[in-house]
Amino acid sequence: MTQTMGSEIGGSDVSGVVGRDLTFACPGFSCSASPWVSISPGATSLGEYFALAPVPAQPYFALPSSPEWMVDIADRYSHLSSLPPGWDGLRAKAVSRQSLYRSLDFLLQVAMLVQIPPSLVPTVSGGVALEWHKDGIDVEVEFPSTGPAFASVDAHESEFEGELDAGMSVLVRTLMHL
Amino acid sequence: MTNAAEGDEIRTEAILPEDLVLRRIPPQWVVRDGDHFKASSQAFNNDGDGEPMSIYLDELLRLNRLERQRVIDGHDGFFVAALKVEDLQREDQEVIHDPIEPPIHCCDPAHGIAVGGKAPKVRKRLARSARWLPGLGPGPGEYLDEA
Repeated sequence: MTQTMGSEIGGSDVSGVVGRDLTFACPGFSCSASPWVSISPGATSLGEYFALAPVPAQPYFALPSSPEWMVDIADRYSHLSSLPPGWDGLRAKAVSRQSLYRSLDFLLQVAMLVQIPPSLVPTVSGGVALEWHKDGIDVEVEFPSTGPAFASVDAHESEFEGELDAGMSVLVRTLMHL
Repeated sequence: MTNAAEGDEIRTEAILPEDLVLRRIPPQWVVRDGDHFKASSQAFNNDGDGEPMSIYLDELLRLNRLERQRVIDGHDGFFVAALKVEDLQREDQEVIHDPIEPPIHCCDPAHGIAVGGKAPKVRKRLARSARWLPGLGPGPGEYLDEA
């Protein structure tokens, strides 16, 4: 099933869209028949970012439900998307749609592995960073407007700093123990 | 505009390693660390247009008879983090007095910049060294101990 949510929700804000998608997705999120929340990078409005897309051919994790904290995360995405240029009091750029898209896509893939929500942080150059900090463990994943995502893991028994793709195994292992 | 590029008004010799610099932290850069709040490593990057990271020199605020909380005048909801100059120098950052002329903000005479590359590791170490100013932090966290 491929269905664009944008046409249904018009100018709705992100939190409403994500909350509804997750509510819809949770009960039946068990196998290949379930819809997968995805985003359309070419969308022209925030509402259009979100679409119900077919389950990816190789879903990262097929898990029974979405964590409750995703609703708060949706509010945070809505906030980030509304930040004007100069939100830092200086010359920070507005958060790019591409960064919102890429970071949320990543988060949806790993959300069920993590007990605690990430802090969502805008970067001065229009990117988005996801950060988890707990008990001396620091995990940061930065999604710039362009170019590869960057991951940084400082855990008690493992460290990594480099492109996200190269550090995915360390990152996932660390997130699972937070 | 800053004066640093013009080469005048630079008084690095007056800046001591034990001096404090203050950094405005918008609420978007506050992250959770367990039950505490700290500044994200993103808060210690150069500016969005590539200009060096803006700071305020604590000693010059004092000399200008400005209370530290004046740094966030006009910036509702912002917080203030402090770093020692030596924390920045350890990361190959040059701390320069760079007053904004003509001043727009009351603290502009004490404005400075931290010049140097801000690789992720550097930003992360700066975030770990930073302490909230008492009364100017977001809640539980590590605060500057001035005892």
